[in-house]
Amino acid sequence: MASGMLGTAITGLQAFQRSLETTSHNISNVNTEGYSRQRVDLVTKKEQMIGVGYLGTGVSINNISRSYDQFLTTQLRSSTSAFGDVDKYRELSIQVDDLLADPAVGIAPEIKKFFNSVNEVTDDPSSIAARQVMLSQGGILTSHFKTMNSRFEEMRSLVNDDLTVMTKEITSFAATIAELNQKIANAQGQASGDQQPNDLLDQRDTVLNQLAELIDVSVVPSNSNMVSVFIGKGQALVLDVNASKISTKPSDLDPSKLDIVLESPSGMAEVISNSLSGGAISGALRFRNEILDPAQQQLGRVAASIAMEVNNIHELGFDLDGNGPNNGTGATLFFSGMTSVPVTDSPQNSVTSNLVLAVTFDKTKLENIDFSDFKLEKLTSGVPNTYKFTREADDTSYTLNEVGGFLVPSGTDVLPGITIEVASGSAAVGDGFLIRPTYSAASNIGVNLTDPRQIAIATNAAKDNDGNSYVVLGPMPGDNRNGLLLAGLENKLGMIGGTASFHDSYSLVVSEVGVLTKSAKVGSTAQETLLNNAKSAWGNVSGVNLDEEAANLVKFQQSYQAAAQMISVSGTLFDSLLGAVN
Amino acid sequence: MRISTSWAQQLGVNAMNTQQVKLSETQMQLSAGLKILRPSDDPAAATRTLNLQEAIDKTEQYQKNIDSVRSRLNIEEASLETAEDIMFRAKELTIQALNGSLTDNDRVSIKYEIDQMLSNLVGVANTRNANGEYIFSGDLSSVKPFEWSGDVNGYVYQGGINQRVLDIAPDRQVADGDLGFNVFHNISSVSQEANATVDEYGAGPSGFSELNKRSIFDTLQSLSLALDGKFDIPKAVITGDRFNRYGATYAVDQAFTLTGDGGTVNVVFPAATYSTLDDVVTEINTQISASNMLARSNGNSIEFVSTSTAVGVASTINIAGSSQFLTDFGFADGEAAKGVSLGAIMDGAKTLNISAGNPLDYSVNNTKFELVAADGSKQEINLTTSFTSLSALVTEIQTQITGSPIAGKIEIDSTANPIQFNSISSGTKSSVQIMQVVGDFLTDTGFSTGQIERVYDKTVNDVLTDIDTALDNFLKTRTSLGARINAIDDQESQNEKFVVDLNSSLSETRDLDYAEAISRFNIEQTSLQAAQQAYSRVQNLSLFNFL
Repeated sequence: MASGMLGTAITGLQAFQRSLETTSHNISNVNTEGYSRQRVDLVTKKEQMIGVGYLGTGVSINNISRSYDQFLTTQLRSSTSAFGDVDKYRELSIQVDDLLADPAVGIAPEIKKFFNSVNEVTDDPSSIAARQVMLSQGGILTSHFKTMNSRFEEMRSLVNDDLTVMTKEITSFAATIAELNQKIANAQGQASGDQQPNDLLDQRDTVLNQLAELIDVSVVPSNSNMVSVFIGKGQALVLDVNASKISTKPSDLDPSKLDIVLESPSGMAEVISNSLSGGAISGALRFRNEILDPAQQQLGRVAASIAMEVNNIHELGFDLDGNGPNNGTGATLFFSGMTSVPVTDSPQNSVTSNLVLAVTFDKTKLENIDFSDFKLEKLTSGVPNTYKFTREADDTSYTLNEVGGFLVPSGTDVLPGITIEVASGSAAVGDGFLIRPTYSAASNIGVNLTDPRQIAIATNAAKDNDGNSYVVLGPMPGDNRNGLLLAGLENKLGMIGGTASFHDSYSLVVSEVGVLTKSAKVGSTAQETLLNNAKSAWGNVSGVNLDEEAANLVKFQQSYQAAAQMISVSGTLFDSLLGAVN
Repeated sequence: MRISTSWAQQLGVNAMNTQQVKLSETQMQLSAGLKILRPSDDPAAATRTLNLQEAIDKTEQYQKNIDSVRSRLNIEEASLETAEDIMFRAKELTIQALNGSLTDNDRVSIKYEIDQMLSNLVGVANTRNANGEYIFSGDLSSVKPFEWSGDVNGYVYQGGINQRVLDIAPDRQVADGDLGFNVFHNISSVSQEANATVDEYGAGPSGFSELNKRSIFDTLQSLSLALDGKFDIPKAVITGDRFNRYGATYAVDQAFTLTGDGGTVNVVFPAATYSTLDDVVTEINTQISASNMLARSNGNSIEFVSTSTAVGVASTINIAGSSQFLTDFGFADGEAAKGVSLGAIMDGAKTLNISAGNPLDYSVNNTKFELVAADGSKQEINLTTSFTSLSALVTEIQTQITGSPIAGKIEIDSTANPIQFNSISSGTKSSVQIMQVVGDFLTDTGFSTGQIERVYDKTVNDVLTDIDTALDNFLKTRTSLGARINAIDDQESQNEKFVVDLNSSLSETRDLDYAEAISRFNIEQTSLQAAQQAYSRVQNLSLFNFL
């Protein structure tokens, strides 16, 4: 054992070599994401009592530690989560925003063109050409509805794909964290004192950060430097070395939507879509709930209103050949696809449930058509049967009673422009149904007529000399009064409780999406600033500064050279001693 | 304070990204010329843009409607002008026809010209617009409004019953024409044909009251007949006041009764589908063929007319029943009509007030007067008693006429007061003349000796009055047309101004302020360059460079 000066010098050499190696490690990892710079903690070696006093014996390495601040790391993670949420929301909402801005698919000009074509027919009701234009414009209007609706559907499937990919990533991150927990625990077992496997910890922090970008997590430390990760309302994603799985499955009442399912290691599955609050996955879910669904439903509401209002008037009119509602052949509907409102049975319904509901738009209450989906749940069996009727958009509900085969509200409650008839069968208490008045209206709408002569522009209304009204049963090619009524629909405030025209109602879709997208953009910018602040704060503590490392390099090199010089001096001293003896 | 090297670099990159995004946004604005590229740029403005654009499109559609209305009204205006010209000439001819010195040949040549004008006028009334629609047919625009009917022996209106209106502004509508019925047909008339043949409900074709009305075509035709020496005695007609051009469908038999001069017929209209009015008419006629009645179409409505040929007796007809048929075809239960039996009418000038207390006493001073018919046959009426009522006087006079040479040629009206003598005739030669013989009868009743009424004079005078009424009617229609044209001109300029205002609002809302955008573009460009330069400078700074 070298002792004395030589020994002291060697401790210095070793310490500075380790320091140089650590500096080299820092420099090499200057661009490694999540890398925390490391430092060699040096302590003075234990002194030796040499009678006259305690003599220093050099330096020793106490620990190699990383620059780490728990608070900053947590803040970075939560900022990452918040930004992931708003940024995904912004990224998706911009697509809807762009879609609505795209003049090639915009509905507003097409509504206008359709009613202009109605006006042209009204100007010249016997012109087949004008009638053909009206049919074509009706077709173009419906195809615009369909196109926009299918773009919404594409976005929904995009969101579904996104959710699927994200759940796979989350599952894989969770597995990685569990694995890293295992490694860290193992490494921790080998250490004595407070040495830590710095690089593994960095890796785990990095993965946690990547995870936080997708989903809001709370990280709780446990034994042996392991961590447990909880998501949503406290559901465990990682418990020490055990990771849960996250996956997607089609929603019960609406298979076109994917729900997020957490599957614990024990095999328990739980739908957690509604309990997630941060990260990109929540951004995607929020986008679906706040922008995509309402936009599509409101678009459907415009389609349903136009179709129903036009049909209501059209079916009372007479066509160019004098066919009308009173003379056998019957009037026809101008638009198709509105004969019934889709109802979905919950798969959880009891096996004995065979209730068939016939839901249709209420021709007399079209102004009440609501864009929201509605959930119907049987409350009690008896006379009458009662049902809970919940508006999904804001979760408000009231009770419906089964009276004369129809479900009707009591008191001041009104149904949203639909009638609900019990067509057959019965349900058990607790059975649920989803009624979606407007959801698919924009995709179902079509033009029912094929022959321009069938457009009912005439009312054939007449009065005799005694003032009695009657209807002429035969062609009145110059009668445009039904056409005037149809053209007048454009200005009718027949939507949203009688406060909005078709156009207003469509504008509402545009402005609501615009407002939400704008706030998403603002929110995203704000969160990005916060994230950058957190990154900067974290970087200031944990990041590598090359200038600093360069200075350290010089410092440790010089120290190493000095220590080496000590060996040389010690050698010279020894030579001097040998020389004196000789 | 320390900063991590990679973050310092990231900051530089972030700064450049931010500037690039801004620059590209401005570049897109510049190339599109628009302030708002997507709704989220300014949701309120985006909505306003949609609303403004919609209002502009809507108003432009109103302008198109106005163009349609104007071109149609112009065609109508031109047609009415032509019609007026025709009527002025007809008026001249009518005045000529009243000249007592005309020979029969003169009258016939006037007749030819009148016939020509009649067909010209029918041509005008049947004018079509550029789309091939009959402009005077209202909502039945594919059907010729006026067509000769052999059954009715005249032009019948078979156009629609409602005039089309178009929207020229929100809540403002304007009619794009006038119904031929109102322009040419439904014209007030002083003629006895118009005043005597309508049924008690005053029905015209569906939806119109036709009391005391005569169409201008009937007026001219009446003139033409008179010039030809003919006088048509109208028969009793009841007209349904509903539009039944397209027949009717019945699931059960419809029963009703028709009573004419020849007796009552119970009609059972069999349940079936009758797709035209002619089918209905044919079916009814098979059932009433044996009676002195006929069903006929006047274009859009069904009419029942008496075919009684009894001379000197006003025809009557009556319909009764409670079946749906009556309602559907516009008849009331018990609806009745009376025809006329009259030719010339000669009125006394004094209203008589005879009663038991105030008798007309010729028992002391007998009075005699002579009635002379058109063929020169005459009868002296001799009154020798006291009359305590008008009916007693009338009955006495009629008794003396009956069985005399003028029986069947002259009659006294049974109820008229003042006293009225009528000639009974089917020709224009028909006349009635009164001559004083002795006594006070003429003085008491207000006749003057030698007073004569000729049916020709009466007919032509009526025609003259009716032509004036028709001209008034044309003028009224043209005035209303002019008012409508003014209204649409006015609305058009309002709409134009509105569109200009809307467009300028739209431009303010949507269009880019280039001056502002270009200076912003320059600033952003400078900022980007600054960020790039700062980045490259900072990245060159490293302690390693000095080792």
